[in-house]
This record gives sequence, structure tokens and C-alpha cells, in this order.
Amino acid sequence: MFSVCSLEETPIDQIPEEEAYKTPEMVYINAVAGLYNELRSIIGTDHNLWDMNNTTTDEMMLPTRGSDWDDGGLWRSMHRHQWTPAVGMFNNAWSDRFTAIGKCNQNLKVVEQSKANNPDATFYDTYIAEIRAIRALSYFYLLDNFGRVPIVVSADTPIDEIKQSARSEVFKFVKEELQEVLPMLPNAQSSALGTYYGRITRGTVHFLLAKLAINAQVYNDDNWETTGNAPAGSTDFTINGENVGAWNATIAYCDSLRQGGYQLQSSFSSNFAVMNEGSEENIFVIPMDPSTYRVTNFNNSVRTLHYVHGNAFGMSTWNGACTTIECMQVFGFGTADEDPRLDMSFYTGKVTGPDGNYIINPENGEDFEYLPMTARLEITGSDADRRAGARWKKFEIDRQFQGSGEIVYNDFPLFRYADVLLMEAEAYMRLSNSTQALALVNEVRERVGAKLLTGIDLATIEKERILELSWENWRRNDMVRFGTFTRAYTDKEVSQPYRIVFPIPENVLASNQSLTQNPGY
Amino acid sequence: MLYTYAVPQPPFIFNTLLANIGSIKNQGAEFALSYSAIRTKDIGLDISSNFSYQKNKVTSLTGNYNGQTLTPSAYNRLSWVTGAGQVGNNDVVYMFEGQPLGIFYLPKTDGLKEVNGKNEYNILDIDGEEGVDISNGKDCYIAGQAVPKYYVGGNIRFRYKAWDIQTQLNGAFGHKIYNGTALTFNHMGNFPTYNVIKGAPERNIYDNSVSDYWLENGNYLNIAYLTLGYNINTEKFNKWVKGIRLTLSVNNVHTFTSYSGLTPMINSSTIDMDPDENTFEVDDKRLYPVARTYSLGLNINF
Repeated sequence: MFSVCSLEETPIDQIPEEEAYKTPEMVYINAVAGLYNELRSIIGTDHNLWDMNNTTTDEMMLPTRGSDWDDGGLWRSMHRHQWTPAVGMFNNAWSDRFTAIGKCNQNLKVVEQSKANNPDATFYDTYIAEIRAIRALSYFYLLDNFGRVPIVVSADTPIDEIKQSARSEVFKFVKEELQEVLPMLPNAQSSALGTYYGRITRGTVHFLLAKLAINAQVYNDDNWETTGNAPAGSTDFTINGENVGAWNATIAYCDSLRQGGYQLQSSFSSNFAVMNEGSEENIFVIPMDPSTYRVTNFNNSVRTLHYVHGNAFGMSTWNGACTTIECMQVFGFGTADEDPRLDMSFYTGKVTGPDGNYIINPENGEDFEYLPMTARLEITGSDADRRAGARWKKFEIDRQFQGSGEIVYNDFPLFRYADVLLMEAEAYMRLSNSTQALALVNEVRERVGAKLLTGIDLATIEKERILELSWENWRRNDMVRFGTFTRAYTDKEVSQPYRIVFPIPENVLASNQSLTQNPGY
Repeated sequence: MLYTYAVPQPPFIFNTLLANIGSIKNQGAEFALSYSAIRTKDIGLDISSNFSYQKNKVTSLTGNYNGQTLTPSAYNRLSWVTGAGQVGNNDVVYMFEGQPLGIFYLPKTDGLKEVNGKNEYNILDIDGEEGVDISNGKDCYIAGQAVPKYYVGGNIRFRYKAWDIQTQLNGAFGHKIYNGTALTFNHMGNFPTYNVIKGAPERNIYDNSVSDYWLENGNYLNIAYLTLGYNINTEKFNKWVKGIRLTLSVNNVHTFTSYSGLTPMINSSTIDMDPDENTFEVDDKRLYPVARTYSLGLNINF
């Protein structure tokens, strides 16, 4: 007596792998959509790229108030440019980017396999282009932060073939990847609800190429250990085989964005509002929505507000990040020339609660007030010192928040059209065309009702970028390009040129002995 | 032995990989001894005891995975102290090849030193290199092991007519415990935002650096319970009730130990890599005080 059973399964909750990539919808859902989740840590405050790019500048700092935010001296060392390769956030940033890249490579492998198995289908190329663009975006951040990283384009690369590339090589790779996939991407709006919401489209790639072009001098410079505070790389930049030069390339890509239909919104704040979907100024966004695009590590608003201020709105906030005295001086705080964007970007004094009245400070019974000009790196835990420093205001407070205030509905604009106008102005200025530069800067200023300028130079453009793009994750990139990253400012001495690039994380070097540390560390 | 290896990114997608390529060696001996010292109608004395000794060594963590050699970093942390202002250099228990699983690898102190009227831990320079550097591999030493070397247990039962008394003992020896609670709550710098432990203002310590200052001997002998019982004679009303027993129990009678924290009976066997759950031989503010309970019991058999 024996019994036979078949081992053939027909599971009802699974499909064979060949079926998973057979239609455009399936390819998108199974191979592309999930890759966008890996972009969230770019704006997260859990010791990652955002902290690396903001706490090391004159735009943001995390003062040690008594014993608050001591964190073993981490934030002080970031502000003073005294970090070491052991700092955890470098490892987090490297790890998250390479996880994103690894997943892109893996997905590329299956999509290309599907394409090979279905030679008559024509839709695979758009998705391959999109995956390559997502990978290139991660490589852009690696290029900007770590410089010398390994370029890995296959899921099957064995460890002994992992080789570190020079910064200029990584620059060339990102540029060529983006230029190659550009024609295959749709000219759709990333910030609008719909098929392309939150996805990389032609506008995203144009923006990235403009950003690469304007930074060509920085990214092509492999000797930054000595030239770090005055980037001296080549300004060559080829488009379609022709070397048009970096500044002309910037102008060309910026113009492509103009032709693509992007424009300034009439309201500056609308780009950061709770319902900022559909803004024609936001070129590429990280969608956020407590239900459908739930981002839990975007604590920027929660980290900046004082406890009393946050509590008035029902949030549990951390009283951490504030801006510097230098930044307030650029905005003209307290002077007759205060820029209109100051009040749209920062809380600098008394604040109103949800009922429209000033919030009362329970410590002294008076109106609660932030004190922007006493923001020093090390202060006490007194009530006044806890209120030192202007706080971020750009993101409209989402009254329907979840969590303790960090899970919000406002999309994060990673790439914005105002930046395009300023990049174009800068490129014209570097070509000594101050007329064009002035017109573009004034276009940005006019939108917010700021007094129009009559003269322009590079320093003014750098200043305009602070006024317009504060805390939008570009300050470090700007400071390096303008040569101001290593200068001294409040609570910071002059730092060494090699600091314009972060160290390869200690853990990374330990797990792959063939990689070497960046110069200076 | 399964171990989560740090693997290079790229080419791996994540920076860790769980692989079964390590090995661990356990040697030891166990003795159990039972003795009925007295056994008569009215009197009984039973003693049972057990004793075990174990020597544990992580023999290898290096191995081959799909043609790639995986090796752990030289310094694998298993347990650490957490708290406000504790970021970095807070590792306490480590795993090294060639050592028992779970050893304390800490900076060495010789006590407190006074700095500007406040006390700080005086960390010594022991590696011969100029200056105190407490990053991995520098001024730290192996200060003891986390897992006990010896376990003892005992049970004594004495019976006299209808009375009986029983006690159970257990103990562990040869290991150390890190008193993270004392480290964190003696730090006056956190006061008054955070409360401090009794005696902290007098100790005047403004430092929460991890060192061997709060590494304490973990030896203990614990009297788990003491139970006194009395069996009431139910012969006269056997038709209704078969037996009645009264007991008086004391649980957690006493623990003989030199450990200064709440109790030395903390987790010494489970490693959890979740920092909110990890308690491997580190007493880190997560213990609930052990209570001595007195209970009266009545047991009626029908």
C-alpha cells in the first residue's frame, strides 16, 4: 500500500517570475515603484545626507543647550568641521545610497532579462531609462558628498572587481548616464498627482544635468586636498559630442526646463504648503502623505521647533536645529532691508498659535519669543538660551499630522525652478554676462516682492541662493562651489580644503580593504 | 554558528548578511547530587544540589560565503549603554575570536579625578601610545566575562510530622555585570532635566563616559524561596475533605551579592541586537525592582 502525492504547486497568492514583468503596469509596480522608497533618507533627520549637508554650513546648526543635544559632541564637531571617518551619519548615508543603487542594479537585471525574453515589446526601454536615472540620482549624492566611490552597474559584480573611481570619473559616469536616458523619459510633471507623481521625468534629469554642469569645476577637480577652497577642475562639458563648456551647458539645460513648462509660482510659500501637489515650480518632489506615502523620518519641522511652540499645535518637538547669526545677517534681520523671505522661511520672534494669538511662554508668563541673534554653538539650558536661534518656517505646519508632528502631507521639493533661474544667472555671471544674470536674479526677487537689484556679482548670487533656497539641502554644495565652505564664521575656525569632501566611512574601509580613504583624513 | 556579518556595500545590497559560518566551543561539566539524609515516619530531610561549570569560546567567526571570505570586524559589540547624551563610545560587551562569548572590553580607570571642582572618571593610558584614546583597539582591556562560569542550585526539604519547610537556592559565579544604571544616574550633568540616584550629589560626578569604574562582580547566591507548610489531619472528616494544607511562602528571600545595583540576576544569556531591547549583562535602567513577596496558601482537596 503506497500513496502518491504531486509536488506541483499552483499557489494562488504567487505568480511565476516570468509573468511578473510582462506588461508595462507589472514592470512599473514590480521593478520601478519601490526604488523611490530609497530616496527618502535624503531628507531624513536620522543622521544621514541631510545632516551632513546642513549642519556643516552656516545655514543650520544644532547648539548644545546645557545637556540637550550634546550627543557626544557630534553636532559641535560637524559645525566646526572636525568630523572623523567614524561618525555614524557618513556610514548611514553611504549605506543607504548603495542599498538604493544595489536595488536598481538588481531590478535592471530582471527588466533587461524580460526585455530579452520579449523582443517584440517596446515599453521596456522607458523603464530601464527610469531605473538608470534613479541610480544616477543616488550616484549624484555620492559624487557630491564622498567623491571617490566605486561605480557599480551590475548586480553580479564580485567583490574583487569593486574599484574606487576618481571623482572626475564618477562625475563623467553620472553625466553620461543622465544624458543617455534623457530622451527616453517623458516630459511630465513630477509634482502633480497622476501617473508621474514623485517619479523621475525629463525635467528631473534636465535639473540634475544643470546641477552637474554648474559644479563641473568642483567635480572635475581631483586635487581638492589643496584646491578645496577654490575649485580648479576643468570646465569642459560635452553635450552630444560637442564641448560647449560647463556654463553654456548649464544655461542650455536651464532653458530646457523653461521650455518644459516649469515656472515660478506667484506665491513662494505655496511650494512648501501642505497641499503643494501640482506646483509648477517644484520639479522633483518626494511625495509625503500619512496614508499613501508615509515618511516617518522627516523630522525637520519637529526638530527645529521649541517644545512650547510645538505643543501649541499638538506636536511633540525637539528644540534642536536653528539657523546661525550669519544667516540672519544675510536676511537683514532687524534692519530696514529685511528680505521678505525671512518671514516666510524662519520664525524669528514671537509666534502665533492655532487661535491666532501669541503663544505664552510658561517659564515667564510673557509672549513666547525666539532670539535669533544669541544662537551660539554652546549655550546653557536656561529658558532664554533654549529659545536662541531662528527656526525653520518654510514648511507649512500640517494640522493633520500623524506621529508627533513628523508624518505630514507636504511634499518635499527636492528640485525647484527658482534654483534653475539662479543657476542660470550664476552661469551667465561666470561668463561675465552681468545683464542676463541681473535679469534672472531680479525675476526671482520680484516674485517675493524684494527690492530689485541694480548691480550683480558672484557674491550677490551666492547670497541670493541663501535667501531663496535656505534649508533646501543646497547650501553645502553652493559653499564649496563659491569657495566659502572652509571660511571662518561664528563658533568655527577656518577649516582645511580637504573638508569639502566627506571621508569614506570607517566601516566601509574595514569591510573592503581595496578601498582607500579620501585625502586629508 | 549564525552571525550577522558586516559585508561591503557595494556589491552587497545591504551592509549586513546573516550567515552560518562561525563556530563556538562549549566545554563543561555538570554534577547533580541528591541525598536523603533522614527518612523516618516523622522526620525527613532531602537535599539535592546541582553544580555546573562551563567554559565557552568563540573559536572562529571567519568563513567562506559563495566564494567570498567573510570575516567580522575585530571589535564586535554585543551590548551597550544608552541614554541621554550617550552617543558613541558606549559599547560595553564585545565578542572576540578566541574569547568567551561576551566579554567586557572597557577603558581602565583608577578612580575619580577632580576637574574644576567636579569629579570625572580618570581613564588611564594603558596601550603605551601617548594619550588616552578609547576608540576600538586603543586604551581598552578585557575586564571580565559576561556569562557565568559556574552555576549552582540547591533544594533542601525538611519534614517533621505534619510540618515541612523547603527552600531553594540558586547562584552564579565567575562573571561580571556592568552597572549602566549607576553610570547614567550618577551623572550630575543631566540634573535636573533627569533625576539622579541617591548619593549622586555627594559623589559629584559630572561624567557619563563608559569605563570599568562601574564594572562590578556579578557573583550571587540567591535564596529563591522559603516555604513552610502544615498538613492538617483530616482523618476525622475524611468523608468530606481528603486533605487540607496551609503554606506560608516567602519569595526572593535574600540575595547574597556584592553587586550594588537592584539585583544581579539580569539577562546573561540572550543577545538582542535591537538597541531598545539589548540587555546582555548590562544593567541599564531597564530592570524592574525585584520584590520580596509573602504569601499564604490554603489548599483543600475534595
